[in-house]
Amino acid sequence: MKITVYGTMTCAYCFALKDWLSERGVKFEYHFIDVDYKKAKEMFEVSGGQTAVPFSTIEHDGELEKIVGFDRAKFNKILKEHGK
Amino acid sequence: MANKRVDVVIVGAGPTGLTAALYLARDGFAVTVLEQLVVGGQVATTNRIENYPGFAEGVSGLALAADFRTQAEKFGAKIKSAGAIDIQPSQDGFVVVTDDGELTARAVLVATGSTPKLTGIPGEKKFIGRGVSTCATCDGAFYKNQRVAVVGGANAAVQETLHLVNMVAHVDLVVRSELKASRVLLDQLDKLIQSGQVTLYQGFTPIEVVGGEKVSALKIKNNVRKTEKTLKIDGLFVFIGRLPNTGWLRAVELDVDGFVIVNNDLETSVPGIFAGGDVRSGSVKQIAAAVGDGAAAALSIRDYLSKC
Ligand SMILES: Cc1cc2nc3c(=O)[nH]c(=O)nc-3n(C[C@H](O)[C@H](O)[C@H](O)COP(=O)(O)OP(=O)(O)OC[C@H]3O[C@@H](n4cnc5c(N)ncnc54)[C@H](O)[C@@H]3O)c2cc1C
Repeated sequence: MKITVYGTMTCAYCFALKDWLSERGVKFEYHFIDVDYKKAKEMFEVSGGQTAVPFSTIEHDGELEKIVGFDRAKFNKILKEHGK
Repeated sequence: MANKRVDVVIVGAGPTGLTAALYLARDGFAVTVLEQLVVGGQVATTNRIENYPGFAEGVSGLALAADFRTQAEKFGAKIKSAGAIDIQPSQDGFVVVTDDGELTARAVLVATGSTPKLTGIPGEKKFIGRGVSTCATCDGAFYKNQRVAVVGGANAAVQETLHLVNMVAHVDLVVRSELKASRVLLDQLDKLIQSGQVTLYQGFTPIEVVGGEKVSALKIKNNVRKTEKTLKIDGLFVFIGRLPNTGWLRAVELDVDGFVIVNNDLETSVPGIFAGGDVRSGSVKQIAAAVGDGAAAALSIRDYLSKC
């Protein structure tokens, strides 16, 4: 399972998600798209033009799940399925 | 979360909840604060705060939220990442049911604050997260050198307009009736209107968000002449007021708008359940007032616990 989170330096929801994943010992990549233009472009392409952060992708079992916002319920469901 | 017993459960870790937590934990009570989203509440999502006493130069919302948290935790308050879904009476107080287990407490403080109201106009819902936002601090960076509109006429709308102009090319500010912001904000806004960075549409009502893949325009209507105008924009920010976070709360009496009714001690219709800050009926929705409510509620809870 690979988790990628896109956020900005000023987004409290992004930091909350980051803390929440870290507290659970979940590994993830985090990109500040306000300073990393390449990653901003990548997020735009993967999300199909999303303009809100945090935006996360979870690659698991050959699928790519996309989560908009700090959606604990969705994250919990996927993490539970993977025994986290 | 296993069923844990504490003296006080505080629902919501905004300025109200974190102040009450600091007071009660410092008094030696076992306190757990439940937070379903962001510790610091609305403060954490505000760019800059200039009217909270003690910070003469102003303070960033994220920094103030972090300090509120540190100070509460320093005295032993515990913060849990969970959302409350019910409060039920029990033999020795209350059971607070969350989306991650239950907690038993002798008293409960509801400090769940409020969430942004939306206009409800066609197109708005479709473009949320794709051009429509309620958080300039979070999403403003997406509109670098682009045109945005802000809808709303109170402090939050003007404050966020002042923040957005630092990033975007231009802001159309759409105000349905009157501008009701503080003098200092209005003076700064005036300067931006003079310089052409902001165009004010006062007496206009937004009627539709237009776009294909993403937002391309906002249609507005003049309230008197009934004429329509189309503003070419890339993003829309909505700041038209707040709704109470009480959808989950069945245990206590609410007013017609859903805010919690309290007495002078900030006690609700159920003895032992208290409420304060943005979520209570009649609050002024300011950080200093929320902090005041947090302190007042903590003292009332201390009194309540000493009697039972
Ligand atoms: C853009 C903006 C700018 C602002 N600027 C200023 C300013 O300059 N000066 C000023 O004084 N005020 C300002 N305010 C208002 C101020 O932020 C609020 O009045 C204050 O934060 C209210 O505090 P609170 O603790 O009552 O509620 P909130 O800050 O709303 O906190 C409530 C917390 O409870 C959580 N919660 C909700 N339901 C549940 C549940 N069921 N379970 C667990 N947790 C839950 C929420 O996630 C939230 O974190 C601003 C607000 C906004 C939106």
